Amino acid sequence: MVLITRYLPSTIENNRPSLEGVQSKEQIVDAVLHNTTVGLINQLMVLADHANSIFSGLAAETSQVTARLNKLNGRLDPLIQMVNQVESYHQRTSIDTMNSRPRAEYHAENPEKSQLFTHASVPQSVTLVYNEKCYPPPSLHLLDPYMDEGQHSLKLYTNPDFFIDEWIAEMQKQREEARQRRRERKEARLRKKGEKGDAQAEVKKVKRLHKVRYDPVTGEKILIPVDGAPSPAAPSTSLASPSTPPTPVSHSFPPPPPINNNSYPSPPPIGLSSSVPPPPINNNYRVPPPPIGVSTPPPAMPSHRPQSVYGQPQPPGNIPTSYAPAPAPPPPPPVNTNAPAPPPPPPMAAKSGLAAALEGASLRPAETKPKAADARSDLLSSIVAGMSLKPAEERKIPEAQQQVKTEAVSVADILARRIAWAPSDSEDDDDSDDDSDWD
Amino acid sequence: MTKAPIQKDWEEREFIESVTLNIQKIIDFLNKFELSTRNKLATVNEKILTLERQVDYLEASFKTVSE
Repeated sequence: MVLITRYLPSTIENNRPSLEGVQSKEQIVDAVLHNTTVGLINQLMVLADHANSIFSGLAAETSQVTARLNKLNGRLDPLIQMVNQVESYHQRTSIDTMNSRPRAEYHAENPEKSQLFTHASVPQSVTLVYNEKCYPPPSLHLLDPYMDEGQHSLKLYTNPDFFIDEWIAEMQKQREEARQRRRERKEARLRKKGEKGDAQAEVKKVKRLHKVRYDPVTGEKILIPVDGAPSPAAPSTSLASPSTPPTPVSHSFPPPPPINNNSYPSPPPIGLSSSVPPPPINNNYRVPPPPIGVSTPPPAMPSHRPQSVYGQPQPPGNIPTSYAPAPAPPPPPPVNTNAPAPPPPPPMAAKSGLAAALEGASLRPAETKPKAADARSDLLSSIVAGMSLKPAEERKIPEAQQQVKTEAVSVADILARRIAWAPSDSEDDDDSDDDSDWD
Repeated sequence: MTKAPIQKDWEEREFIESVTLNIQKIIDFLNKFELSTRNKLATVNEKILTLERQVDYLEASFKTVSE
């Protein structure tokens, strides 16, 4: 909404045409014409007055600006003269001398102007519009004798002091809030003092310290209290995927072989024939779940199945497999009963920290894995058996094809074993996640 | 041929309307002129204020140099 600062009356506002005693149409038209012309002249007069006020206001402002510029000009003249003196001073004085002198702090004058919006500062044109065009409030002061508690009835209609009253109420409210806050702070301080007195009597409980160690063999977290025995913490296992159920993974080393004097070689494993493919190599130590929705029972498996590497599922039983008997091992050498027994291990003088930590940890037995059929193992067993050479005609040479296949199977087994023991990236991530929780 | 009173009235009304239109144009010009002039004067006023502050600072700094 535009603020009307100057008001221009309409042509018929101040002079209504008087049509008393006018009979003919021509007289009516003439009267209206005369009145309209008078209204126009009145408008031009008011317009000239407004134009005069506009130009006089602009002239006053321009004269103020000019006065300020003249004042600035007068102040600049001595400054221009001082520039030469300052330049000569700078040429005469060294930089060290100028830097050594204390610096003067400059504070600009900031006169705060107040009482900007008062009745005196209202422009004259607005005052004229206000006085001429605004309706005064009704004369409600006549009802004051009938009001309760000496109230002013006009204040209920229009209150010029409304904003001042609101400001006073707001300031009083803030003062009350500040007083309340101060009171609460004082009470809290007193309460804290009382609590301090009570707390001095109590003995503070200190948290129990735990040393965190990790088993180098199993990787289990071991919490060792400072004054107690080690307590192995249960390692947390994370699932690879929500669909596959986790199977316990044993990373523990197999127990050492029993020491005995009998040097019988272990019987060689059953060699697979050429029709059986090598077992699939899989890095995940999880048993894959059975297919969902299969209603037919699994095919019958042969009664004697070799255990695959790391619990991998065997190929289905409907694949024809033929188990060829392995060549007979060479006869064992005569057992020497008089052979001296190995000396017992020396008793440990003092248990090291690692041994003490490992004492509480229990190792899980490793899964027994069949040895891969290998030509090297046969050779090794024959060397261990002794230098009992047979005549050439007695020795049976196995078929070349079977030997090649056996070697292929053994290479696959070796690869499978090596890949299975190599830690995968995903497992590394899981372990690092578990170990990174420092608790 | 004499003009009919209605025709005469229309001509007079046309003249009055043209005068009124010119008055409105003058009012429009006055409003725009005042607005633009006051805007320019306000800009000049701000620049003079800045100059006055700079002169104040220069006077203070020159005074300290001379001392």
